Order: sequence, then structure tokens, then C-alpha cells
Amino acid sequence: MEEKKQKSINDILPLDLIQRILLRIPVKHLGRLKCVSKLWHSLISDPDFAESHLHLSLASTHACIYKKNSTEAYLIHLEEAFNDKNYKVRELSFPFKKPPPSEFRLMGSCRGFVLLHQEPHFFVVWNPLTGFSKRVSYSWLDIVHRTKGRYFRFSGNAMLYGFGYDATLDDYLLVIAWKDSNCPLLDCFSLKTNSWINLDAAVPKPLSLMEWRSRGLFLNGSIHWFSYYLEKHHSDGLLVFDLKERSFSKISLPEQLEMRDAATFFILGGCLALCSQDYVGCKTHIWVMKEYKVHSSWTLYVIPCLEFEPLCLSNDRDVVAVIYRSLKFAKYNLREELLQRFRCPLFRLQTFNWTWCTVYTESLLPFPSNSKHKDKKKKKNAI
Amino acid sequence: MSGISDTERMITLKTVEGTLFDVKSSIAKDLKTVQAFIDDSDDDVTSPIPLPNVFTRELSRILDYLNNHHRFRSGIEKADEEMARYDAEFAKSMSHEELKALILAANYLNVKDLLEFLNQTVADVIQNKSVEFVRNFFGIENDYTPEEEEKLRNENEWAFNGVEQD
Repeated sequence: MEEKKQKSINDILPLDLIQRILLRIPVKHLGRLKCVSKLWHSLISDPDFAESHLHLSLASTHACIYKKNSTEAYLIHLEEAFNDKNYKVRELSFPFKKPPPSEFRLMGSCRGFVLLHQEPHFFVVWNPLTGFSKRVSYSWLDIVHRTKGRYFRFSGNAMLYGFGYDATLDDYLLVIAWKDSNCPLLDCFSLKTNSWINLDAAVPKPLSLMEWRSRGLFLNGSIHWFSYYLEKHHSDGLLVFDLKERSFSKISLPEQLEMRDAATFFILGGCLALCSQDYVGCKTHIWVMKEYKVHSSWTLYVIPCLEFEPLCLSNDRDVVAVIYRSLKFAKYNLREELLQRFRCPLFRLQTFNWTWCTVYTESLLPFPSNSKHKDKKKKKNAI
Repeated sequence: MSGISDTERMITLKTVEGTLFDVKSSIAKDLKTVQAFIDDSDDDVTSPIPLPNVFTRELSRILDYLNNHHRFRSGIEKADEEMARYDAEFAKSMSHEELKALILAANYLNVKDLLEFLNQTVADVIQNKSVEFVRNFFGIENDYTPEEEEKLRNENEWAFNGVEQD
């Protein structure tokens, strides 16, 4: 009887149970678990599984890439850094064959991929977890040639930039608005087909005049930018570009948001969020749009310290952040309203700059490849 | 018996070994497989419901879990902490074999919350462990040749840093 019982216990758990367990394991361990057996390998390698893992967020890990120099970066796993006393920050090499000729920026992240951009030479899409990278080179001539007939003085300054994903085409897109003395040029680069798509028709007139390079954030199929007029201390709200419809719209800000200084814009727990400083009360105000595009869902959280820059939401209740003035990391528990400060070992911040840093959710999603082999060579020459 | 309301009706369950368990119908609702059986029956179910895949040890644990969770949920505010403590003890009290057996039983009986909790428990146990440990845990045969496995490990080298020793 005992023998019989043992046998039934050692029955392999049904596939769907194994899958449900694997969905609860952080992505970085899944690479190893591919080696368990061929069945596990095909389970974990399945792109649908990677999609489910990303969307269900049962075990999402947020990582922060912070540029150390032109060839190396720090990698910090934000959930672990604050819960594990022995956590060590890793150092990674950027996926360049040789150091880039000049400054490059971290342009954002989307579904586990980080985008690096060095104007005007190249883009690199990089998954720091798996090491996958894809490099696309381009030159100013490519841009200028496509504006043929139109007077366009290329000053090489991107006004807006964003990195996002179009689910209907399974394509990663870069959206860039170049500044021109006359009018902006709105461009879109498809990373799957390696080609530029002109989107001038979609440009809202007038396009908000951001005073500095504004990075976009990808959420729910759209790229979002925060529009802000430095001199007027005024914001028009959030500019939204729907990647599927290829059209712009706006999201208005909470009326109570005071804009004495520039607010910063980020995504927290899958929601759009803004933070502004209250220098009088020495507090940071964080506004979170709890329901996407529902104006009445803007909710205020008051953090009892200044210059608290959120990086991510961990465990649905802890806001992990960096504090500008002291260059320390901090964690704020929303339920208990408790703030804790940390120093991250082996990683002393000299300064904090969003162009040197990006936060992303780790994923095992494969990068789409262009099935049109015929046109590939042609397009490669054009680039 | 007069005066007994619908929620206090008792259902009898029979395990593989023939042991009988009397279960309140409010608890039986969480055993979705059992509830479906009751719903599908035209008459009131009076005889014991046989559970051909469930052993006494597992059913006993499942009922223990459900009874406690019902108690926590119907009680006062502080229950969250108590519930977390109970859950932690519950998970710790089982060997890996018992944990697996319980998952199979909870899956068969379709006890949603318990199953999620057990899946998370297993995920927490295996996530940091070596490939050999995971194979042993699930009783899985390695169907890779040594060469294939070597190649895989090299391809996924990034995943092999910082693994706990068995």
C-alpha cells in the first residue's frame, strides 16, 4: 500500500500546474530551469509563456541600469537590494564591440529591453538579463534625405523620444521628434524591419515646446510624454502617442498639482505618475493615475521627504526611490506610511541623471525578427 | 433535525482509504470539484461522496487550511497577521513529498486559494536551487545528453550566477 502511495506522489505534476508554478518564479531563474528537461525548456522558451509572465506580474523583478562609464553599467535589482542585506550590485558591460565615440543615452525601456541611443550614430536594443542586443546604425543623411523637398535644417536635437511596442505588428518602435527652426519632424523607426516611417501627418499642431530632451514612457500600447513650459511654469498635461493608431491625444493633470518647479514623470505599478516638490513643507507629492485615462482616478500620496524620485513599486506597497540631495536609496511603504533610507553597497552615486539610468522589468521575451529576408539586404544598405 | 439553516448542512466525503469526513457545506463550497458534484446531483446528496484521488492525510490538511481561513476571514481585523503566521507554519510543516501530494490533491479538488498558496510556496522553494535539486523535487528524469546540457548551460550562463548550494 505504501509502495503504491509513493508511486502516485512521484507522478509528474500536470503541465499546467508546472506552468503556474513557473509563472511565480522571477525570470532570472528561469534561464537555469530550462536545463531541467526538454519539456521544461519548451515551456519556458514559449513566447506565450514569456508574455503571460510579463502581464501577470506574479514574480516581476525590476532592475535599474545605471551608466558607470562609456563601457560599463551598474545593474541593481530593486526588490532584492532593499530586502537582502547581502545584496551585491553587479557590473555589466554595455553590448558595444568598441567604446562609442561620444556620449550615449539610455533612452528608455520596454518589455525587458533597454534602448541606448547615441546621436546621430546608432541605437542599440539590449536585454541586460540575457545579453541579447541588436544594433542599428543610421546617419543624419538618412533623416535629411527623407525630408526631400521640404526645407529642413537639421540641428541634430531630438525634442522628444520614446521606445514602445506595437502588439498588432509585434514590432518595437522608436518615436523621435526632431527640432527644426520651422516645424518638427516626427519620425518612427521600426526595429523589426529596420526602416524609418514618417509620421508628420500625425503631428498635433502646435507640438508642445519641451525645453529639454523629453523621454517618453511606454504603457498600454502608447508612448507618453510630459509637456512642460519651463518659463511659464505650466504644463499642458501628458502627450500620448498610440502606436497602433499612430495618433496623438492628451491626458490632463490633476488640478491641484502645483507646478512651481518641473515635475518628474514616471510609471509606478503599471500606472502613470507624477511627482512634484513641496519645498515649504519639505515633502514630495506623488500623483498616481490609478485608472488609465480616468481623470478622477488621480490620487495623491505625500512622502515625508524632499526630492524622492520613485524608481518602481515593489510588492504592491513599497515605493522604491532615490533621494536626489543625499544620493541615497529609499523605500516608502504606502500602507504603513513608513519611509526607510538605504545606502547601496558598492555603488556610490556621484549624481543622478535620468539619461544615465533606466528602470525596466526583466523579461525573457524574444525580439521579433524580420521575416522578409528579401528586403533585408536592401534596407540594410539604406541604413 | 429542525432549526439547521442551509449553511450548516453537512456533506460527507470519503477518501481513498475509506475514511469519512463530515464537512460543513460552506467549507465544501471551496472544494469546487465537490461542489460541482453536488450541483449536478438532482437530489440532495446524502451518501458519502467518494474522492478516488485523495488520501486521508491530504484531505485532512486541506480541511484544516480551509477551516482556519474561514475563521480568519469572519473574525476581527487583526486576522491578516494571524493568517500570515498560520500560512507560514502550514507551509513549513510539510516535507517536499507532502507538499507535492497536497498540490495534486488541491488541484483535483480545485481549491483555488490553497492551490495559489501552494504554487507560490513551491516557487519560493525551487527558485534559487540548482537544476539537480529541481529534478529531484519533481521526480523528473533528465532527458538531455551531457553534451546537450553543456551547450544549454553555456547559452544560459547568465542564469547560473548566485545559485544556492543544495
